[in-house]
Amino acid sequence: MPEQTKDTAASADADDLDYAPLAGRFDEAFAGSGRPHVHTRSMVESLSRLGPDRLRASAERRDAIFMQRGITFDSTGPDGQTRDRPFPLDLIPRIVSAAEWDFISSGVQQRVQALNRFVADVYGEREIVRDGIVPWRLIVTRPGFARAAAGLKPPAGVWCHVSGCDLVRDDKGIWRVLEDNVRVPSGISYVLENRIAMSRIVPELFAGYSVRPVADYPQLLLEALVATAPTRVGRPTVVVWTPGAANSAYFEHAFLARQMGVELVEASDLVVRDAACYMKTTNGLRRVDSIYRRIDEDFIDPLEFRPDSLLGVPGLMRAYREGNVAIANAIGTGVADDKAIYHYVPDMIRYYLNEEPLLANVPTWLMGEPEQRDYVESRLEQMVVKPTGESGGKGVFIGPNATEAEVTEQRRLLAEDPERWIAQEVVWLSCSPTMDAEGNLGPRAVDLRPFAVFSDEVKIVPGGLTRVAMAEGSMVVNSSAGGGSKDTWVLAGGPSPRVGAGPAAEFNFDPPTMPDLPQVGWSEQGQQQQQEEEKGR
Amino acid sequence: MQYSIIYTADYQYEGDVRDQHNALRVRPTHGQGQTLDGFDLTIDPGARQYGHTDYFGTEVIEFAIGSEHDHLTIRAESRVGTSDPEEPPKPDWQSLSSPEYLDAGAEYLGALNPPANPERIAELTRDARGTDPLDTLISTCNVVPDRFEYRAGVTYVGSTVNDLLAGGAGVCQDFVHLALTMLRREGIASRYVSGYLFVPNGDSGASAEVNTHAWLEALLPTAEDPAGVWVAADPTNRSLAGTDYIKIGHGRAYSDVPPIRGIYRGAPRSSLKSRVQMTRLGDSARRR
Amino acid sequence: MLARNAHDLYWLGRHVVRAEHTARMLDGLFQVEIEGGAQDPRSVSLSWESVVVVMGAGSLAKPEGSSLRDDVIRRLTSDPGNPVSIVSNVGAAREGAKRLRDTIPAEAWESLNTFRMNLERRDLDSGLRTGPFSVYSYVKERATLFWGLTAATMQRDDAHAFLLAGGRIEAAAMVLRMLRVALPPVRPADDERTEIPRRDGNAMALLRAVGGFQAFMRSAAAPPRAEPVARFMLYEQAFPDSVAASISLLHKVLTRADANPDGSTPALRLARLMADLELRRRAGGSPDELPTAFREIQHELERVETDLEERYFSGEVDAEQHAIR
Repeated sequence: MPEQTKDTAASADADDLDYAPLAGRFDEAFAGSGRPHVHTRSMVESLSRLGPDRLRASAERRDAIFMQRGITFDSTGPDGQTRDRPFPLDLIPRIVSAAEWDFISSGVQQRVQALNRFVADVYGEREIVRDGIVPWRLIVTRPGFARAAAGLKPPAGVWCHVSGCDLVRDDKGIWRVLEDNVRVPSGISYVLENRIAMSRIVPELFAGYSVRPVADYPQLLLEALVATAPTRVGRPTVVVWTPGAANSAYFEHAFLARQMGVELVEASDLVVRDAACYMKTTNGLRRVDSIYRRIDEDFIDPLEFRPDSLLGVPGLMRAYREGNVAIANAIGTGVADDKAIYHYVPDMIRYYLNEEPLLANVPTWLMGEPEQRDYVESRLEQMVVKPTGESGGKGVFIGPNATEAEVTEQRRLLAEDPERWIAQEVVWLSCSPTMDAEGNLGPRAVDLRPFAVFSDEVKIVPGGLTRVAMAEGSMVVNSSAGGGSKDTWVLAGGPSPRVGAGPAAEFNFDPPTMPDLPQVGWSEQGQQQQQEEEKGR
Repeated sequence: MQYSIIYTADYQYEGDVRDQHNALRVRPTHGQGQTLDGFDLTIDPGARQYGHTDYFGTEVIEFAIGSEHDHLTIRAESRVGTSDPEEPPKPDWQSLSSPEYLDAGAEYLGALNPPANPERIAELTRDARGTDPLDTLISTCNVVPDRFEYRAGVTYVGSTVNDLLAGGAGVCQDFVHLALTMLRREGIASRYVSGYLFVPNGDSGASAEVNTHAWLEALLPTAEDPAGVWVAADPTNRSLAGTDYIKIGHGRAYSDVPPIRGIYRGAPRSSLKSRVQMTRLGDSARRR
Repeated sequence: MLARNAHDLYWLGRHVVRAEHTARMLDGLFQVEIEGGAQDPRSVSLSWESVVVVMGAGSLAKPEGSSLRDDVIRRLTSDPGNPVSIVSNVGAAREGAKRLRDTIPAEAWESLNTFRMNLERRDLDSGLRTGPFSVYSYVKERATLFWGLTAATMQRDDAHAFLLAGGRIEAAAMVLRMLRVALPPVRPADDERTEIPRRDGNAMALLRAVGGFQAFMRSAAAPPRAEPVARFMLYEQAFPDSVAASISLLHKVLTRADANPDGSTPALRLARLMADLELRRRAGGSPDELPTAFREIQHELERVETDLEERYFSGEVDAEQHAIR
């Protein structure tokens, strides 16, 4: 039996998985011939050995584990009701080869550096405006342009401590940036939890791969927060600021605070005296040096931002301006991830870094510019139109999927306030084999959000959140709209030379041959993880 | 012209309050034909003052009082010199669409929030439209007080242009917001100005008790500078601003330059007495 | 630790104990009413009226068509609209535990979540009609499970200290409240021949309610009469639900959690109260002095509550914010 298995495994392709790549799309696992890419060969073999039944059984264990651990996401169903459901992790990993990752990671580094320079410039010298690269009128009319940030100089010149670029791959397999997130990008907790879950649920799939670890993200983040804190005696006190348990990403806020071993605070826990920020503890006020905020800047300080709102910590901006507390991300970064500013990011990279952009943009038109608007309006049915100030897929118009009424409505919206919109070419997202409820595999659209942490240099966790559209043919990957996720594997080197004869095969041995060895290995890793988490609590 | 200005605000709380945070925008600006020759701010109960210049160039002074207190007195004394403004330029409509002008005036061209009733604004704008931008500016400063009654107490600091349109009456702040809405609709970049206006009363004519005042500045291109210069005008008093206007700062609307913005914990009710005492010192009173 | 979390933990402890002791009290009362006939010379007069008063459970008006007993039992057990009912307390505890999911052990949160879910699912009212015993024994079991889980799995850190502090202060307050109802001051008009047995009966009922009967019989070298029972429930350090034991434990955990216990007003007040209780215990004294002692101890405990709020949770009792414009 093992002999025969090995033979099939060595030649496993799309047909063996009953999988048909989607025509006209780039497939993350298979080349056009239906043969796996070099770096996905080992996984395809493992999958063909597992088969739909075992995959389905694994999926059931996965849901139970996620529910029990409370790894959930608020999602709004078709009935408009919001409910807690397990964050849907697809068990088929998305694998990125080492060479590909080098490219992506250099591209993201370059981009984050340019965005950070841009933010500093906009609130400082405005050189990019003076040199005519980005028009001032565009910048000051962005909803994310924060006048309160003018003249600020955050420590080490870092504004975008944490960022996440949304990358997609078009039908030619070219990586493109769909949008930047330099305000409060979320999703990193799922990257970490997904990896833990995968190693417990389908350890078989890891066989033959050396996957780069992601678990050190909280440590990276903590170091960045400590590094940007104002210098005082002793180790700085870092906190994570959450809007509260009702926030859809509360799980992640609590997760990060726990993993970093710092307090998770709400606005009511913080108070400013003179020009220093403190948290209220049972032993009185304790000085806070660095705040990782997971809250919109409009609700940071009612004295500065929203006079109509009493939310936030009065005086916090004073403490910030006086350099007594660090806030990450800095105030005002929202100007850089505006969708109209996005259009200029390649120019920014050339301007600030004197480099050619590695990652391409999706061709974008600004609706505030009359000629560009005329062009878009003439072919609205083939375009994607997005509001500039929104995130999470809100208000996005997708031409090819739109009804006639929706097209008419979009025309009206464009005429009403053109500045609010941008239009993009439809990008036919690449697909990755994804499991349905029966354990069968089908191609589903994916994107990728790598997470970067910026202190003295830009560090990127190998991998990131791969989001996947769970419905066939859909290109909406946002988790708030029912999208799922995949564990993203960045490989340490090339594919293992022992493909077919290495650990991949060992996993399939009948128990008498190699009884418990591999099993023991995996479960130990799981236990160790669990212990670490308990310590973190 | 030289002025001495004493601004006082006196809050009495019905009970103890604490964790008081305030941002003051009461310090007159220095520059643009105005000189600030002296400024002194006292706060009771005593508190350390933190100053910074905001995005719009206004000097902001912040202070915090953590411990319990039952009153707050703010006293700002300034000594200011003003000079006659330059003759306003008389640009044509065309000049308002140059890229230089659109950049310089960008954030002062957008609609106020919330948007005002478009039909009413269209009608008022039509009535105020002049032959050129300057003409329109002057005409707007007349149409507003023609159509609306100046009456204190009918609106409050948070009132909108729609409140003025509906109520038919308001104060300088409301008049400025309406005028800004009208001018911006015509493509004339314009901004809200907060400050003090000397209005002589009594016998001497040199000293007066006044209030804080609001007027506006419109951006008008000149032959030399297509980006334009700011021309001050007062839609409450139907005139361009002169030497009796002392500017604190400007912004897109009132909410960018409120004299006092604050927050505290404790007694919900308080009483406020605020006043501005202005004395004209004459042209020669300048001291150094 | 954060004042907000400590505050939530403290109230979590209070709500769980409140639910548990309410169940104990109602269970004990119900038992007594069944056992003691009207002819019994030691007839118990722990009336349903006084329960309403001591628990602050609303009006004394007797509802149409049902006895006051049934109505009080319902109000204090299953009425979600009554903030002092068992279901309300369990609900509040569950909400608190939810906010504290990152502070308390997952099992403790799950046990409270299940607790509330089961209370919601059960038809409590029909359960109360057929036999309140099963309902109250379930409540007692779940509360005990919660304390067992937290005792077994929580680190002995500040979080555990504030959870226990809430539980102990509530237990002491509940026992004192019950004592004040059971043994009110003697009025001149009272007939000594009926009053003394009545008080003895009340005290025993109470002792049974808090589960201290066996402990008393084993440890106290005194007949089960009102005075020794009351003294046992007040002063007996070895009985965990006695006021003295609760206060000692409260003092111990606060001292542990406070960075500067010597400067802690609540800790100092508790130390004084402990000494005072010990003095009272040794002094013996006449039964007439007991009601005064109840009142004084209860008042002192209320001061401890205020001190506690001020020292540890001051942020949580912040006054409302107002804008100045």
